[in-house]
Amino acid sequence: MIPKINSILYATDLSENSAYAFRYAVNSALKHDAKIHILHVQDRIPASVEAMLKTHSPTESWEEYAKAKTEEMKKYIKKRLEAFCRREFKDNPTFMDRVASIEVIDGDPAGEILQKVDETGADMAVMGTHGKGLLAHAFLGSVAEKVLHRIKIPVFIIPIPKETDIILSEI
Amino acid sequence: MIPKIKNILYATDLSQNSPFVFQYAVDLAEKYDAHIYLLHIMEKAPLISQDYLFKDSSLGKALRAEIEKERVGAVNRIKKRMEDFCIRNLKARAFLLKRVKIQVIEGHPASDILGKVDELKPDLLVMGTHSKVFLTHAFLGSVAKKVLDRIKIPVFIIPIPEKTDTSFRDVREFIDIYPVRILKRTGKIARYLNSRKHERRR
Repeated sequence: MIPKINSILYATDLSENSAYAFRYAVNSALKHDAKIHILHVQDRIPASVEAMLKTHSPTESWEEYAKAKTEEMKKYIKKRLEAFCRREFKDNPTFMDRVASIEVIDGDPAGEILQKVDETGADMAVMGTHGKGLLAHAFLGSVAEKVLHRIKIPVFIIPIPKETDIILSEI
Repeated sequence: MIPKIKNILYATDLSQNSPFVFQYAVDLAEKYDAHIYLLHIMEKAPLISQDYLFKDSSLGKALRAEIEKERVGAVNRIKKRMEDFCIRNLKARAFLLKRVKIQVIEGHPASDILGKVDELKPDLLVMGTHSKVFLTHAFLGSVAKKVLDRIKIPVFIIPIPEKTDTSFRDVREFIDIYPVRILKRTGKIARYLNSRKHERRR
Protein backbone atom coordinates (compact mmCIF):
# COMPACT_ATOMS: atom_id res chain seq x y z
CA MET A 1 0.00 0.00 0.00
CA ILE A 2 1.22 3.49 -0.72
CA PRO A 3 1.04 6.44 1.67
CA LYS A 4 -2.26 8.29 1.30
CA ILE A 5 -2.19 11.13 -1.19
CA ASN A 6 -4.10 14.12 0.16
CA SER A 7 -2.27 16.99 -1.42
CA ILE A 8 -0.75 17.41 -4.88
CA LEU A 9 1.60 20.20 -5.85
CA TYR A 10 1.30 21.26 -9.47
CA ALA A 11 4.14 23.51 -10.64
CA THR A 12 3.67 25.48 -13.82
CA ASP A 13 5.75 27.85 -15.90
CA LEU A 14 2.72 28.83 -17.98
CA SER A 15 3.94 26.86 -21.00
CA GLU A 16 1.95 24.45 -23.13
CA ASN A 17 3.95 21.60 -21.55
CA SER A 18 2.75 22.67 -18.10
CA ALA A 19 -0.81 23.09 -19.29
CA TYR A 20 -0.81 19.52 -20.54
CA ALA A 21 0.70 18.30 -17.27
CA PHE A 22 -2.23 19.90 -15.42
CA ARG A 23 -4.52 17.19 -16.73
CA TYR A 24 -2.41 14.57 -14.99
CA ALA A 25 -2.59 16.58 -11.78
CA VAL A 26 -6.38 16.75 -12.03
CA ASN A 27 -6.67 13.04 -12.84
CA SER A 28 -4.54 12.17 -9.82
CA ALA A 29 -6.53 14.50 -7.57
CA LEU A 30 -9.74 12.78 -8.63
CA LYS A 31 -8.39 9.26 -8.19
CA HIS A 32 -6.94 9.99 -4.74
CA ASP A 33 -9.61 12.46 -3.60
CA ALA A 34 -6.85 14.99 -3.10
CA LYS A 35 -6.44 18.77 -3.31
CA ILE A 36 -4.23 20.57 -5.80
CA HIS A 37 -1.93 23.45 -4.94
CA ILE A 38 -0.94 25.41 -8.02
CA LEU A 39 2.39 27.20 -8.00
CA HIS A 40 4.05 29.44 -10.52
CA VAL A 41 7.53 30.74 -9.80
CA GLN A 42 8.69 33.87 -11.54
CA ASP A 43 12.37 33.63 -12.21
CA ARG A 44 14.39 36.62 -11.02
CA ILE A 45 15.60 39.01 -13.67
CA PRO A 46 19.26 38.35 -14.46
CA ALA A 47 21.58 40.94 -12.91
CA SER A 48 22.73 42.19 -16.32
CA VAL A 49 19.17 42.86 -17.46
CA GLU A 50 18.40 44.53 -14.16
CA ALA A 51 21.39 46.80 -14.56
CA MET A 52 20.24 47.81 -18.02
CA LEU A 53 16.70 48.45 -16.85
CA LYS A 54 17.95 50.55 -13.95
CA THR A 55 19.72 52.97 -16.29
CA HIS A 56 16.47 53.50 -18.16
CA SER A 57 14.28 53.53 -15.09
CA PRO A 58 11.47 56.07 -15.30
CA THR A 59 11.57 56.87 -11.61
CA GLU A 60 14.34 57.70 -9.15
CA SER A 61 13.64 54.73 -6.94
CA TRP A 62 14.16 51.55 -8.93
CA GLU A 63 13.37 49.34 -5.93
CA GLU A 64 9.86 50.70 -5.49
CA TYR A 65 9.14 50.63 -9.19
CA ALA A 66 10.35 47.06 -9.58
CA LYS A 67 8.40 45.93 -6.54
CA ALA A 68 5.17 47.51 -7.76
CA LYS A 69 5.56 46.02 -11.22
CA THR A 70 6.31 42.59 -9.80
CA GLU A 71 3.20 42.65 -7.64
CA GLU A 72 1.14 43.70 -10.65
CA MET A 73 2.60 40.84 -12.67
CA LYS A 74 1.85 38.32 -9.93
CA LYS A 75 -1.80 39.39 -9.75
CA TYR A 76 -2.12 39.20 -13.50
CA ILE A 77 -0.61 35.72 -13.67
CA LYS A 78 -2.83 34.52 -10.85
CA LYS A 79 -5.89 35.73 -12.78
CA ARG A 80 -4.62 33.99 -15.87
CA LEU A 81 -4.19 30.73 -13.98
CA GLU A 82 -7.70 31.03 -12.56
CA ALA A 83 -9.04 31.53 -16.07
CA PHE A 84 -7.03 28.53 -17.25
CA CYS A 85 -8.59 26.36 -14.52
CA ARG A 86 -12.09 27.52 -15.38
CA ARG A 87 -11.50 26.63 -19.02
CA GLU A 88 -10.14 23.20 -18.10
CA PHE A 89 -13.09 22.58 -15.80
CA LYS A 90 -15.66 23.82 -18.29
CA ASP A 91 -17.49 20.49 -18.29
CA ASN A 92 -17.03 19.86 -14.57
CA PRO A 93 -17.20 23.14 -12.63
CA THR A 94 -17.13 21.29 -9.29
CA PHE A 95 -13.53 20.32 -9.93
CA MET A 96 -12.65 23.91 -9.05
CA ASP A 97 -13.16 22.94 -5.39
CA ARG A 98 -10.16 20.66 -5.68
CA VAL A 99 -7.88 23.62 -6.28
CA ALA A 100 -6.77 24.56 -2.76
CA SER A 101 -4.54 27.47 -3.75
CA ILE A 102 -3.03 29.34 -6.66
CA GLU A 103 0.20 31.11 -5.83
CA VAL A 104 2.70 33.14 -7.76
CA ILE A 105 6.09 33.63 -6.13
CA ASP A 106 9.28 35.13 -7.40
CA GLY A 107 12.55 33.46 -6.75
CA ASP A 108 14.51 30.43 -7.82
CA PRO A 109 12.02 28.04 -9.43
CA ALA A 110 13.46 24.74 -8.18
CA GLY A 111 14.08 26.05 -4.66
CA GLU A 112 10.62 27.56 -4.34
CA ILE A 113 8.95 24.40 -5.64
CA LEU A 114 10.75 22.31 -3.04
CA GLN A 115 9.84 24.79 -0.33
CA LYS A 116 6.20 24.73 -1.38
CA VAL A 117 6.21 20.93 -1.18
CA ASP A 118 7.28 21.20 2.47
CA GLU A 119 4.86 24.04 3.23
CA THR A 120 1.79 22.33 1.81
CA GLY A 121 2.81 18.84 2.93
CA ALA A 122 2.32 17.65 -0.63
CA ASP A 123 2.30 13.87 -1.08
CA MET A 124 2.99 14.06 -4.78
CA ALA A 125 4.09 16.60 -7.38
CA VAL A 126 3.28 17.09 -11.06
CA MET A 127 5.33 19.09 -13.53
CA GLY A 128 6.38 19.27 -17.16
CA THR A 129 9.82 18.19 -18.37
CA HIS A 130 10.54 21.38 -20.21
CA GLY A 131 9.34 24.92 -20.13
CA LYS A 132 9.32 27.48 -22.82
CA GLY A 133 12.96 27.20 -23.83
CA LEU A 134 12.31 23.97 -25.61
CA LEU A 135 14.26 22.12 -28.23
CA ALA A 136 12.73 18.88 -29.43
CA HIS A 137 15.87 16.92 -28.66
CA ALA A 138 16.76 18.71 -25.46
CA PHE A 139 17.60 16.87 -22.30
CA LEU A 140 15.47 17.13 -19.19
CA GLY A 141 14.79 20.79 -18.38
CA SER A 142 16.97 22.38 -15.73
CA VAL A 143 14.17 23.12 -13.26
CA ALA A 144 12.76 19.59 -13.47
CA GLU A 145 16.23 18.15 -13.01
CA LYS A 146 17.07 20.33 -10.00
CA VAL A 147 13.73 19.48 -8.38
CA LEU A 148 14.19 15.75 -8.96
CA HIS A 149 17.62 15.86 -7.37
CA ARG A 150 16.23 16.91 -4.02
CA ILE A 151 12.56 16.06 -3.88
CA LYS A 152 11.46 13.47 -1.34
CA ILE A 153 7.99 12.69 -2.75
CA PRO A 154 6.92 10.99 -6.01
CA VAL A 155 6.81 13.21 -9.08
CA PHE A 156 4.85 12.90 -12.29
CA ILE A 157 7.15 14.22 -15.01
CA ILE A 158 5.14 14.94 -18.14
CA PRO A 159 6.77 15.54 -21.51
CA ILE A 160 5.18 17.47 -24.33
CA PRO A 161 2.72 15.30 -26.20
CA LYS A 162 2.76 14.98 -29.95
CA GLU A 163 -0.76 16.34 -30.34
CA THR A 164 -2.78 18.33 -27.91
CA ASP A 165 -5.98 20.32 -27.98
CA ILE A 166 -4.68 22.85 -25.50
CA ILE A 167 -5.14 26.47 -26.43
CA LEU A 168 -3.36 29.03 -24.29
CA SER A 169 -4.13 32.70 -24.41
CA GLU A 170 -1.25 35.10 -24.93
CA ILE A 171 0.29 36.52 -21.78
CA MET B 1 -8.28 15.21 -23.75
CA ILE B 2 -8.15 13.03 -20.66
CA PRO B 3 -4.77 11.36 -20.11
CA LYS B 4 -4.92 7.66 -20.84
CA ILE B 5 -3.20 5.19 -18.53
CA LYS B 6 -3.87 1.66 -19.74
CA ASN B 7 -0.37 0.18 -19.77
CA ILE B 8 2.31 0.86 -17.22
CA LEU B 9 5.95 -0.12 -17.54
CA TYR B 10 7.72 -0.60 -14.23
CA ALA B 11 11.48 -1.03 -14.61
CA THR B 12 12.95 -2.70 -11.54
CA ASP B 13 16.39 -3.70 -10.37
CA LEU B 14 14.83 -6.13 -7.87
CA SER B 15 16.75 -4.47 -5.06
CA GLN B 16 15.56 -3.96 -1.51
CA ASN B 17 13.74 -0.74 -2.42
CA SER B 18 11.76 -2.17 -5.29
CA PRO B 19 8.72 -3.33 -3.28
CA PHE B 20 8.20 0.30 -2.22
CA VAL B 21 8.30 1.54 -5.82
CA PHE B 22 6.21 -1.41 -7.03
CA GLN B 23 3.38 -0.37 -4.71
CA TYR B 24 3.03 2.87 -6.67
CA ALA B 25 2.80 0.97 -9.94
CA VAL B 26 0.22 -1.36 -8.37
CA ASP B 27 -1.78 1.58 -7.04
CA LEU B 28 -1.91 3.10 -10.52
CA ALA B 29 -2.89 -0.22 -12.09
CA GLU B 30 -5.72 -0.53 -9.61
CA LYS B 31 -7.01 3.03 -9.96
CA TYR B 32 -6.78 3.17 -13.76
CA ASP B 33 -7.63 -0.50 -14.47
CA ALA B 34 -4.26 -0.78 -16.15
CA HIS B 35 -1.80 -3.54 -16.98
CA ILE B 36 1.76 -3.63 -15.71
CA TYR B 37 4.85 -4.70 -17.62
CA LEU B 38 7.34 -5.73 -14.96
CA LEU B 39 10.73 -5.31 -16.58
CA HIS B 40 14.13 -6.36 -15.30
CA ILE B 41 17.28 -5.76 -17.27
CA MET B 42 20.22 -8.06 -16.54
CA GLU B 43 23.38 -6.14 -16.99
CA LYS B 44 25.86 -7.79 -19.34
CA ALA B 45 28.96 -9.26 -17.76
CA PRO B 46 31.82 -6.80 -17.30
CA LEU B 47 33.81 -6.22 -20.48
CA ILE B 48 37.06 -7.73 -19.23
CA SER B 49 35.56 -11.14 -18.59
CA GLN B 50 33.88 -11.09 -21.98
CA ASP B 51 37.21 -10.40 -23.55
CA TYR B 52 38.62 -13.60 -22.09
CA LEU B 53 35.45 -15.48 -22.85
CA PHE B 54 35.57 -14.71 -26.54
CA LYS B 55 39.21 -15.59 -27.01
CA ASP B 56 39.43 -18.22 -29.71
CA SER B 57 40.84 -21.13 -27.75
CA SER B 58 39.44 -24.50 -26.80
CA LEU B 59 39.33 -23.34 -23.21
CA GLY B 60 37.48 -20.25 -24.29
CA LYS B 61 34.98 -22.24 -26.33
CA ALA B 62 34.24 -24.68 -23.53
CA LEU B 63 33.81 -21.88 -21.05
CA ARG B 64 31.61 -19.94 -23.45
CA ALA B 65 29.26 -22.89 -23.75
CA GLU B 66 29.06 -23.28 -20.03
CA ILE B 67 28.57 -19.57 -19.42
CA GLU B 68 25.77 -19.57 -21.97
CA LYS B 69 24.07 -22.40 -20.11
CA GLU B 70 24.47 -20.47 -16.88
CA ARG B 71 23.03 -17.37 -18.48
CA VAL B 72 19.85 -19.12 -19.62
CA GLY B 73 19.56 -20.58 -16.15
CA ALA B 74 19.95 -17.09 -14.70
CA VAL B 75 17.17 -15.68 -16.88
CA ASN B 76 14.80 -18.41 -15.75
CA ARG B 77 15.82 -17.94 -12.13
CA ILE B 78 15.14 -14.23 -12.37
CA LYS B 79 11.74 -14.78 -14.00
CA LYS B 80 10.80 -17.10 -11.15
CA ARG B 81 12.09 -14.57 -8.66
CA MET B 82 9.98 -11.85 -10.24
CA GLU B 83 6.88 -14.04 -10.07
CA ASP B 84 7.54 -14.57 -6.36
CA PHE B 85 8.10 -10.83 -6.00
CA CYS B 86 4.66 -10.13 -7.49
CA ILE B 87 2.87 -12.66 -5.33
CA ARG B 88 4.62 -11.40 -2.19
CA ASN B 89 3.91 -7.76 -2.89
CA LEU B 90 0.41 -7.95 -4.29
CA LYS B 91 -0.82 -9.94 -1.30
CA ALA B 92 -4.53 -9.23 -0.95
CA ARG B 93 -4.74 -7.84 -4.45
CA ALA B 94 -3.85 -11.13 -6.10
CA PHE B 95 -6.49 -10.42 -8.76
CA LEU B 96 -3.93 -8.04 -10.25
CA LEU B 97 -1.51 -10.91 -10.91
CA LYS B 98 -3.05 -11.65 -14.29
CA ARG B 99 -2.46 -8.02 -15.27
CA VAL B 100 1.29 -8.26 -14.74
CA LYS B 101 3.50 -9.33 -17.65
CA ILE B 102 7.06 -10.21 -16.76
CA GLN B 103 9.91 -9.21 -19.09
CA VAL B 104 13.58 -10.05 -18.56
CA ILE B 105 16.25 -9.02 -21.01
CA GLU B 106 20.02 -8.83 -20.94
CA GLY B 107 21.50 -5.51 -21.84
CA HIS B 108 22.20 -2.02 -20.61
CA PRO B 109 19.62 -0.58 -18.24
CA ALA B 110 19.07 2.96 -19.48
CA SER B 111 19.06 2.35 -23.24
CA ASP B 112 17.09 -0.87 -22.96
CA ILE B 113 14.42 0.75 -20.82
CA LEU B 114 13.99 3.33 -23.59
CA GLY B 115 14.00 0.51 -26.15
CA LYS B 116 11.24 -1.30 -24.30
CA VAL B 117 9.21 1.91 -24.10
CA ASP B 118 9.40 2.17 -27.90
CA GLU B 119 8.54 -1.51 -28.32
CA LEU B 120 5.74 -1.91 -25.78
CA LYS B 121 4.38 1.65 -26.06
CA PRO B 122 3.19 1.99 -22.45
CA ASP B 123 1.30 5.09 -21.35
CA LEU B 124 3.47 5.60 -18.33
CA LEU B 125 6.85 4.56 -16.94
CA VAL B 126 7.35 4.01 -13.21
CA MET B 127 10.79 3.90 -11.72
CA GLY B 128 12.74 4.64 -8.55
CA THR B 129 15.37 7.35 -8.42
CA HIS B 130 18.14 4.91 -7.62
CA SER B 131 18.65 1.70 -9.47
CA LYS B 132 22.18 0.80 -8.49
CA VAL B 133 22.25 -0.21 -4.88
CA PHE B 134 25.84 0.87 -4.40
CA LEU B 135 25.29 4.54 -5.16
CA THR B 136 22.49 5.31 -2.75
CA HIS B 137 23.99 8.65 -1.85
CA ALA B 138 23.74 9.94 -5.41
CA PHE B 139 21.02 12.53 -5.78
CA LEU B 140 19.49 11.06 -8.89
CA GLY B 141 20.66 7.66 -10.01
CA SER B 142 22.46 7.44 -13.33
CA VAL B 143 19.89 5.18 -14.96
CA ALA B 144 16.98 7.43 -13.92
CA LYS B 145 18.81 10.47 -15.26
CA LYS B 146 19.67 8.86 -18.60
CA VAL B 147 16.10 7.65 -19.07
CA LEU B 148 14.55 11.00 -18.14
CA ASP B 149 16.78 12.83 -20.60
CA ARG B 150 15.35 10.91 -23.53
CA ILE B 151 11.90 9.72 -22.57
CA LYS B 152 8.85 10.81 -24.54
CA ILE B 153 6.13 9.44 -22.25
CA PRO B 154 5.12 10.50 -18.71
CA VAL B 155 7.27 9.13 -15.92
CA PHE B 156 6.27 8.60 -12.33
CA ILE B 157 9.52 8.84 -10.46
CA ILE B 158 9.60 7.57 -6.90
CA PRO B 159 12.33 8.76 -4.53
CA ILE B 160 13.63 6.05 -2.24
CA PRO B 161 12.53 6.89 1.32
CA GLU B 162 15.31 8.04 3.60
CA LYS B 163 14.74 5.61 6.39
CA THR B 164 15.38 2.61 4.15
CA ASP B 165 18.22 0.49 5.42
CA THR B 166 21.05 0.73 2.90
CA SER B 167 23.55 -1.52 4.62
CA PHE B 168 25.73 -4.31 3.30
CA ARG B 169 22.62 -6.43 2.91
CA ASP B 170 21.95 -4.60 -0.36
CA VAL B 171 25.23 -5.78 -1.85
CA ARG B 172 24.55 -9.42 -1.05
CA GLU B 173 21.07 -9.19 -2.52
CA PHE B 174 22.50 -7.71 -5.69
CA ILE B 175 25.07 -10.48 -6.06
CA ASP B 176 22.40 -13.05 -5.31
CA ILE B 177 20.62 -12.17 -8.54
CA TYR B 178 23.60 -12.93 -10.74
CA PRO B 179 25.05 -16.44 -10.55
CA VAL B 180 28.07 -16.27 -8.31
CA ARG B 181 29.57 -19.11 -10.31
CA ILE B 182 29.94 -16.82 -13.31
CA LEU B 183 31.60 -14.14 -11.22
CA LYS B 184 33.92 -16.66 -9.63
CA ARG B 185 34.82 -18.16 -12.98
CA THR B 186 35.86 -14.86 -14.48
CA GLY B 187 38.30 -14.50 -11.60
CA LYS B 188 39.65 -17.99 -12.29
CA ILE B 189 40.14 -17.22 -15.98
CA ALA B 190 42.13 -14.11 -15.14
CA ARG B 191 44.38 -16.00 -12.74
CA TYR B 192 44.85 -18.92 -15.16
CA LEU B 193 45.80 -16.69 -18.05
CA ASN B 194 48.12 -14.67 -15.85
CA SER B 195 49.96 -17.82 -14.80
CA ARG B 196 50.28 -18.95 -18.43
CA LYS B 197 51.74 -15.56 -19.35
CA HIS B 198 54.77 -16.19 -17.10
CA GLU B 199 55.40 -19.58 -18.79
CA ARG B 200 55.31 -18.15 -22.31
CA ARG B 201 57.98 -15.59 -21.46
CA ARG B 202 60.61 -18.23 -20.78
